[in-house]
Amino acid sequence: MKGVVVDSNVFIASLIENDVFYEVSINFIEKMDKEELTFHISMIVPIEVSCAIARRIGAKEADESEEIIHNWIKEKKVVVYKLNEKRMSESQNYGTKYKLKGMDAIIVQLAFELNLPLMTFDNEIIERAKGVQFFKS
Amino acid sequence: MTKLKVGPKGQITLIKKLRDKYGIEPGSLVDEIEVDDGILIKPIESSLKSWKNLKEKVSKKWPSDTSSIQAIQEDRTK
Repeated sequence: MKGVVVDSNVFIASLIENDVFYEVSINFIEKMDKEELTFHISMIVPIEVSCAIARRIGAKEADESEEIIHNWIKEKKVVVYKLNEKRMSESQNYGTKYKLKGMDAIIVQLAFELNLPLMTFDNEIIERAKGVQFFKS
Repeated sequence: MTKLKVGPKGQITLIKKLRDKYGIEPGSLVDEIEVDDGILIKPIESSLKSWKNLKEKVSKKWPSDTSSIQAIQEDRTK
């Protein structure tokens, strides 16, 4: 099964029906749910997703997003990677090399470590992280 | 009420009408709950269906001037 590193904005776009990336992101989520794709995510992603929802919608919906992502993790459709000293150091190196924001550097580091394409809608990451292979839907 | 025949390993086949009604497909999970007078089989909502239900709630309240990208970028910088 194909694997892909996924950024938080993909999960968020799939929850906003009028977002420009809604169709692409929900198709992508459906592929993961059908086990055509495995999502590999940093542990910061579920945190960012629930915080983004909590700040703009409410705690109840944020908790729901957390629960559903955890179910996908239990079903092994989503694999989570913890932050550790090695990943911290590599993220710092990529962040410095490509002049990335800290969280962006963590996402980019995981794509390099796993040697998998990265799915993000963030043009700043796409333009700056030249060595990363980006997932084409 | 429909009578179901139990197979040698305890299997039963739910009738199609009810499988369709409750969205039970091959691979779906159901809860088996012991109740006073028997066993209740309750479909478990799939994660994808739950995500799409959540989408309905989020879409209604999401600020119209904020895209998914802006939201994450904003949260990463503020």
